[in-house]
Amino acid sequence: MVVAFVALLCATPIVLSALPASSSGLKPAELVRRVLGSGARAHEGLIEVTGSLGLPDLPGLDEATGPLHGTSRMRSWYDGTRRWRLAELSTTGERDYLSNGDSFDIWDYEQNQYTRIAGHPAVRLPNATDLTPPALARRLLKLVRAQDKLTTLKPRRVAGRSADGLRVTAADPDTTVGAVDVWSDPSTGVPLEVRVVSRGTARPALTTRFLEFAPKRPAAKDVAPRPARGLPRGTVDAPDLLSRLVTFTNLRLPDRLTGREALPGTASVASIRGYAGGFGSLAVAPLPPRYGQQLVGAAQEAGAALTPLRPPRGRGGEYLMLTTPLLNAMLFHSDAGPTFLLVGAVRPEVLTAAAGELAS
Amino acid sequence: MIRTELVKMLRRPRTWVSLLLLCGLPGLVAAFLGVTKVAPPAGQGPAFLAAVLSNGTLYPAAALAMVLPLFLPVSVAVVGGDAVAGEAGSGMLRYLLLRPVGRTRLLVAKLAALTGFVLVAVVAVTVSSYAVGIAVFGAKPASAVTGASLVTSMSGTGLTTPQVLLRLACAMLYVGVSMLGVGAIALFLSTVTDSPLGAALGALAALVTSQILVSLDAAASVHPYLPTRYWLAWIDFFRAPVLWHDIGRGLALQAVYVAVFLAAAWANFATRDITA
Repeated sequence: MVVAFVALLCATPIVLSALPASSSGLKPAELVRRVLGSGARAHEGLIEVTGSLGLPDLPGLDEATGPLHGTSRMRSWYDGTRRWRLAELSTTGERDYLSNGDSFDIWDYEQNQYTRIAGHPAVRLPNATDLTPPALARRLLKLVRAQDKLTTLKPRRVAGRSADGLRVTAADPDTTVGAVDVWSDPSTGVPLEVRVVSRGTARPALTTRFLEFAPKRPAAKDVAPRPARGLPRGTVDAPDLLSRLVTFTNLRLPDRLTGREALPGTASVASIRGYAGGFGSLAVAPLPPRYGQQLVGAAQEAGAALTPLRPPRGRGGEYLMLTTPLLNAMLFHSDAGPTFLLVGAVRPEVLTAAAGELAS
Repeated sequence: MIRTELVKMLRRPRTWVSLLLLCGLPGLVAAFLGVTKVAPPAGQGPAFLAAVLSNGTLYPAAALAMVLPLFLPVSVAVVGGDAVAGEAGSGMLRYLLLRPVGRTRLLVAKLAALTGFVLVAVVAVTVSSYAVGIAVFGAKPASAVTGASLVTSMSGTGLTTPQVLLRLACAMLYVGVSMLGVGAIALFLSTVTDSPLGAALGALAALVTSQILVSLDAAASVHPYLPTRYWLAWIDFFRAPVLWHDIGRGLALQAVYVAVFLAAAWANFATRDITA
């Protein structure tokens, strides 16, 4: 009797996870359109992000690289593109990002600081808000090109709901992205789970998924909770290091790099540029000399070795390469003086070629 | 029978020494913090410890965070491991069962005594650390907070005194329920061996294994079933709104552990040859 009781208890979660999932039967291209068109759909839920990228701790970049390794949790209350709240949870505190119309605030419990971001920074570092399944799926699906292969995946249950599956297999040989799997809610199109698989592997390097999901308008007090009166408050123009660097550097980067065109709309911050190449896009930022030295020092401590770069034309320099299964980053110190940070989901050879072009 | 076991538990010096140690650690930490005013850096140390410097009302939460990883489970494992094996080890179990007492009834009484110890322990830690917190850090609203609020929640909203006390009570009960799982494992092992130390160490070995696996990403598939997985979910009482996801799962998981190990303890104890 006891054995039967224990067996029943142990079998319950297995039975629940094996409940059948239904599909809406849409074609892959229709699923992509539905996901891209779900930006206005209100929802709330609990999210878990699991990454195995293992980037080293670099000064000033921990906010961007931290969630990419290990498991982290977030709560999301989303009431459209301009009104939402995302809470990054930890066992010792919470960091909230609050967008409410024209204002954008960050609350950090451990720092006991409520910070308002003035205006809209032209560029910023990626952070937890970019890793929710809807945000990541829409960002990645916007990069899909005609030559990438779209296929449907078997529907499965995510956060207790049936979800339509879609796979994008990257065709560009330059990118480290092998495939992007997106499972979305059939009724709203909101992505419930995203897996990014690096080239040549089967296990996802980055997974973000809803553990709880409700396709409903969140309560106003949850989206914009009233902060306690008297909290220490501050206002800053730049929310992170990248947006601060914009004001320190004025080096003009080329309009084209390794065959990739510079992204439009960054005229006010010509010193930091993104170069469009589908999943193989990359970003380049010239660094102030002292900060560049700090980053090089931290990367060397993490085990990266300085390698000389001698392009066929122009001056060369030396670089440090930080490689992960998905994202690669290069710190390139040119003989001409400036130090550049190059980042992208591209093969290290692409970054080396880009650095060579920057040096010449 | 239950009353007898409860009284026996309360009369044991070991119970009071355990309680003294459990309450002593937060008292010691409060003394250091009160003298030096040096809070742990952000993201380090037990939860809430940095916040208590400006208001001692939250100190019971910090105290629970201090004793939960080690002190509390060790004391519960010792009491649970001693429940049946202690009687067998001292040669009293056979005589105990000679009285008109069924084995099931004896096991239920031992479980009740164990539950009583867990409740007394968490209440003692909470109440003593509340008193220590108020005495050392004061109960004025946190320096940053004005108006009716006393402290800030993790989400930055204000919490009034009744809200803080209610959430502390919920956290205390949740920690108590979490300890019942440990107690049930120790009680089961106590029916397997005649050595109270062996039973307590067995329960602690299970907990240490669980803690190691919880911190291992490679073992993510078994995390939801590990007894210590949701121990820290009580912190979610201090978010706005309260995050019930892990709290609910933690309570359900402990209920399963208690049910499974009590059933196993009953099956083993009811059919065992009592020789000691």
